[in-house]
Amino acid sequence: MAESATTTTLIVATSVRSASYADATAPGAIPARNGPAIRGRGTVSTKMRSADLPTPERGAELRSQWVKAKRAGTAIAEALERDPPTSYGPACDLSAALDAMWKLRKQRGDENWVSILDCLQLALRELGGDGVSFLSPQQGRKLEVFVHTLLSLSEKSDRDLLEAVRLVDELGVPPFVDFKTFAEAAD
Amino acid sequence: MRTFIDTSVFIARHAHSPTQAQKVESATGAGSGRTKVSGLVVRQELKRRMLGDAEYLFRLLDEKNGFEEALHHLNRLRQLPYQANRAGICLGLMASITGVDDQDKTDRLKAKLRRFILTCLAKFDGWVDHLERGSGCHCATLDPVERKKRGGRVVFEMGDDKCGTGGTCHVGQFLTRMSDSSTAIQSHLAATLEPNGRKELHDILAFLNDTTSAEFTATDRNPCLTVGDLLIALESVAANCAEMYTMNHRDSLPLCAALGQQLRILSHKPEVEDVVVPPPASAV
Repeated sequence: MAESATTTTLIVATSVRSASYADATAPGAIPARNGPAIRGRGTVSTKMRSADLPTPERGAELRSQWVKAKRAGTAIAEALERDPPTSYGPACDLSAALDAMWKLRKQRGDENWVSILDCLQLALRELGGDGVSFLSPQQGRKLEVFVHTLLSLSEKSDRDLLEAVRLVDELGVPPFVDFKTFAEAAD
Repeated sequence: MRTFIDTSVFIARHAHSPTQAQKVESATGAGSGRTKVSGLVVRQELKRRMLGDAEYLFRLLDEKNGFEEALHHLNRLRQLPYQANRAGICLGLMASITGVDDQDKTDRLKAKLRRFILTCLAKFDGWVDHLERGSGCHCATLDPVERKKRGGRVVFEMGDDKCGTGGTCHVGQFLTRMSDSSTAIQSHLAATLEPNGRKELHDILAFLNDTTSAEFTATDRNPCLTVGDLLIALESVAANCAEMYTMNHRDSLPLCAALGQQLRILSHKPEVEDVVVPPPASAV
């Protein structure tokens, strides 16, 4: 009796597995959301959602947000030279533009660029709400350079990534501060 | 003064709070009169201990198809005795990640891990004034390499992590060359180490006792992994450093005493000043 039950279970398990495999590999089939990733020809990627697909309109929106970020970066640098507390407004503008750029990150398809963007967002978060106003004028110019050159929409290399880490360090934010738990375990 | 920088100090400078970073910079920066020296074994340790975990987490995000599944997997691993440490480290980083959905959090975490894996060693090389290469540690010279697999998946190859592999590991010859310093450490530990003392120090003593008996080659025991503190201490001697700068004073204190070096201890608390332990009177 026990043997028969085991056999039945095995048959059911095999048929379920066959059915799901057949469904997943059928022409035009879309893999289940949390199902096994089937790679190779004829598969549909679940990584890129339709809302993220690159389009000319979204590309233009990304460029417009970068222009806003550049304007805010220059305004911060100028404010730090004249009257540091007035850099708060441009810092908020920069933060908002970076958030909008993050939402449009799939337009770029460049992982280094996405990582550079995250690096600057991390720096602004670590500096805090009015932390930007405590930067020196030289640091303000570095922030401006960061936005103008490292966040430009050209393809970014590993060298650009390293430059981003170096500039964030010069803004007074430890570049790997997110990895505090890694550090504490290694101490 | 030439100061040898331990792994923990580099980590404190670049991954702890801004106050801690400032403290390390004021102790070792241009105005301090110190030359920052480090070595290949320190670089190897950084790669193995920090980048290894980062690479694991990056791979896990791909294997589990996203942040949430990886999180559940790591929570399960935390129950297992041999996986708990790594799982805890990864979960600590994941706790700081925010996003509107799973894809957002996955991309955010991947962006951080990518930056860390690709730039950490270059940052280390750029930060120290001189990198002592005398130990000939082959693993340390291999930087992580990014590879794109079919289907666009990105993987990082970390290279060898065991002594003696690759055919160009010179750690064995380095240990032979530094036999005078090794003997000083061996005799100091044999005289001062208590039976219930630190396990790491007992491992160093056992390693030195075994190597002097010439029963095996040093690299058989994977010394960079098992007695890394010994190799780092010997690297500091090879680099003519009069001072060792570390957070891990419990292991470094007897080694510095044996080698006649000054020990500078960086506290975990940013508000606490560094403690300087001068070399023993007999060594001055």
